[in-house]
Amino acid sequence: MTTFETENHDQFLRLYVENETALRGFVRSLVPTREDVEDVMQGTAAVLWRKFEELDSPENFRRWAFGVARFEALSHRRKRSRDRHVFGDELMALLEAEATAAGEQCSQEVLVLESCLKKLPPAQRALLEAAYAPGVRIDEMARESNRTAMSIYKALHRIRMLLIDCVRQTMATEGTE
Amino acid sequence: MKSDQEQMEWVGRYLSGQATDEEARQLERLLLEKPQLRTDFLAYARLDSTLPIVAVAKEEIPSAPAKLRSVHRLVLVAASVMLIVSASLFWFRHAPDEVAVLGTITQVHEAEIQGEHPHLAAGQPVRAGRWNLASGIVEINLKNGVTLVLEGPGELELFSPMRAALLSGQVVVRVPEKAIGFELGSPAARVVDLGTEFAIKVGPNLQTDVQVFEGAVVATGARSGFPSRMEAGTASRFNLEATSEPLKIEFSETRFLRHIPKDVKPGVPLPESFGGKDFALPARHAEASIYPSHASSPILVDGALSDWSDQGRFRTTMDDSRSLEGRMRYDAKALYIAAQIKDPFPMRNVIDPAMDPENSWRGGCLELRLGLDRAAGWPLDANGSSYYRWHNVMASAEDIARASNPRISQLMLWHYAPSQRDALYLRYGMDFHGALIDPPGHQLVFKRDPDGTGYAIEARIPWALLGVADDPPQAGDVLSNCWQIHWSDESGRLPHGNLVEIRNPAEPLRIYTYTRAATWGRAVFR
Repeated sequence: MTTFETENHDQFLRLYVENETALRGFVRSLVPTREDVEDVMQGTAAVLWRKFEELDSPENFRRWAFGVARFEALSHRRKRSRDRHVFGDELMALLEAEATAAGEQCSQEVLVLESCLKKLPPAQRALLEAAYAPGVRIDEMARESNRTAMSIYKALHRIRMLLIDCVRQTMATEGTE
Repeated sequence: MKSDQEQMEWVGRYLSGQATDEEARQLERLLLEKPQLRTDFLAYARLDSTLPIVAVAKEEIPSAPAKLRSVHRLVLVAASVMLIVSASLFWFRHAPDEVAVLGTITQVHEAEIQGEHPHLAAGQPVRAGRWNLASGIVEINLKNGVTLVLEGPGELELFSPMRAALLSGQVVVRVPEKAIGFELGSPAARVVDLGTEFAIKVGPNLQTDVQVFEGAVVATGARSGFPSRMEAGTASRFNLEATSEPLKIEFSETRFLRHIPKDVKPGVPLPESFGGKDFALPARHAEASIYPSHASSPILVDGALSDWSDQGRFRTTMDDSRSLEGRMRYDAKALYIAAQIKDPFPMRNVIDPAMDPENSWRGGCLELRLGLDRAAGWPLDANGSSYYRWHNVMASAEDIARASNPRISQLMLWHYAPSQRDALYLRYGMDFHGALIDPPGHQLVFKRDPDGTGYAIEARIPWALLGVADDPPQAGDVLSNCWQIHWSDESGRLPHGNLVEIRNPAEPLRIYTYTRAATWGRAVFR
C-alpha cells in the first residue's frame, strides 16, 4: 500500500470501529435474525470501504454509514424474500435518525455491558452464553434441556431487560447518559 | 393500551422471530407513535447484536479486565473489517463467521498463506480450520494459552484449543499448565502433551520427528499404536510404516524455531505494482532467460570464478548488501554453475543436511530448478501437488505423470556452517521424488569473499545426475531454468528475504516457482 492508502485504510478502520456497535444494533432492528446481521454488516463494510474515497469529510461518516446499512438491510431482505412483515419507510427513517444520534454512546455501552454481565446470577449467565453461542437454535436447546422453547425465550427476554436496565443505570450513575 | 412491559415483550418476540405479522404491524404502529419505545427497541436490538461478540471476547482472554477485553475486541473487529474488505483470506473463505475464534496471531515473520490476499498480521483472529502457510513464520496464541510457532511451508489444521494436526512443515508448541493434555496429531504419530514445550516436523514421506525441549510428552506411532513417554532433551522419528519402536534421533537446539525474534528486521518492500507489502517475496525478477554457453576448455571447480568470462552473466539485486550474479556453462558431460552472492551474513546456514535438507533455504541457500526434457520444451507444463491443492483443482493422470518427469530436477546448494560442509540436495520432478544428498559425481565449492561481504559458489553437476545422460542439452535447445537465492539473518536459521531470477514473465508472480514449472524462465543453450 502507498502511504496514502495506508492512511486512508487506518482512517477507515478507526471510523468503522467507532461506529460498529451502533451500526450493528441498527441493522439488528431492521432484520429478522442475528445471522442476517452478519450478512448485512459484511455487505455494509464492503460498500463503505469501496466508496470511502468519495466521502467528503470524516464527520459525515456516521450518517453515511447508517444510510448504507439501511439500504443493505433492505436489499438483504428483498433477496431473502422473507414473508414476514417489513417495517415501512417512515419507521425506518425514524430508527435511522435515532440510531445515528445514539452512535457516540455505544462504545461506552459495550464496556458497561461487560460489567453488567458479571452481575448476573450464574444460571442466567450460563443460559445467555448458551443461547448466544454460534449456530445455536433455541428449539434444539429446549429439547436438550427438557424445557419448552417458549420458556427459554421468556427467560432470555427477562435477562435482556435486566441487562438493559443495568446498562442504563450504570451509565446514568457515571454521567454518560 | 399495552403496558410498557408488554410492549417490550412484543419487541422481544419480534426480534427473536416469534411475532406474528399482525403483532409486527401493531408494533410498527406503536414504534411510530412512541419515541421512548423506539429508543428502547434500538437498545434491545443493540444488546441482542452485541451479546455474541461480548461472549466471544470473554472466552478469549478470561483474566483480562473489561476495558482490555473491549480493546482486544476492537482489534478483532478491526481485523474482521480488514477481512471483510479484502474478503478472501484463506480461513475467511473456508471458515464462516460462525466458526469459533480459537485464538489470535501474535507475531509474524515474512509469513503468507496461500491465496490472493496472503498477508498475515499480528492481531488477526485465528479460527478453527486448515492453515496453508506458504512461507514465513507465524506465532499463534490460542485462548487457553497454548502457543504454536509454525514455520512455512506447512499445513496445520486447528480443531479446538486442545487439538490440532500438522500435515506438513514444522511447529513448536508451548503448553501452559492449564492446557495439559493438548494433542497434536500428524500422519505418523500423535503427541499428547504433559505440560511442556515440544516440536514436531512432518518431513518427506510423511515421517514425523518429535523433539521435547521441556517437560514430557506421550508420543504414539500411528502404525505401532504403542505409546511411549519422551522426556526433555530427547527426539524420536516415527515412520508411517514402522510397527516397532520409534527411531531415536539427535536432539538439536537449533533445528526448530521456538520464538520469532522480536528484533528481526522486516523484509524489503516489494514494488508498488505488487502491492508493496512489507516483507520479501520471491517476486522481483528482471530476466526471462539465461544463456548457458558451451565450455570450450575445462573448468576447474575451486570456488574462484576468475576463469569464467562475463558471457551470459545475469545480475539481480535486493539492496546494497544483497545481490546475485549467475552464469552457466556446459559440455558433453556436465552442467557448470557459477554464482557470486552478496550476503551480509555469508555461509552461516545451520540447517543440517542430514536432518532437514529440504529446509536449507531457511538459513541461506541457492536453489536451481532445471527442466531438461527437450520433448516437453518451454514453458514446461508440470505442477507439484500443492498447485492442485491450493487451486482446488483435480490432477489428471497426465498431470501426475508430468509432475514426476525425471528430467526435471531441483537443486539446493548451501554451506552447512557447523561442520563447514558444502551440501547439495537434489530432487526430481515437481513431486520431489528420488531425493539425494551429496550424490557421488558432483563437485561443489563455496568460497567466502575476502572482505566478508559475500561468497562464491562453483559447481559441476554431471548430466547423469540431472536425468539427461542419454540426451544432454545441445546448442540451440531452449529448456527451462529458474534461480532463487535465499538470505538469512545473523543466526543462519531465520529466512530474511529471497529473490527469484530467470522467470517466465507470462506467469503470475503470485505463483511459487517450486509448485509450477511453467513459471521458470528459458535456458537458451548456445
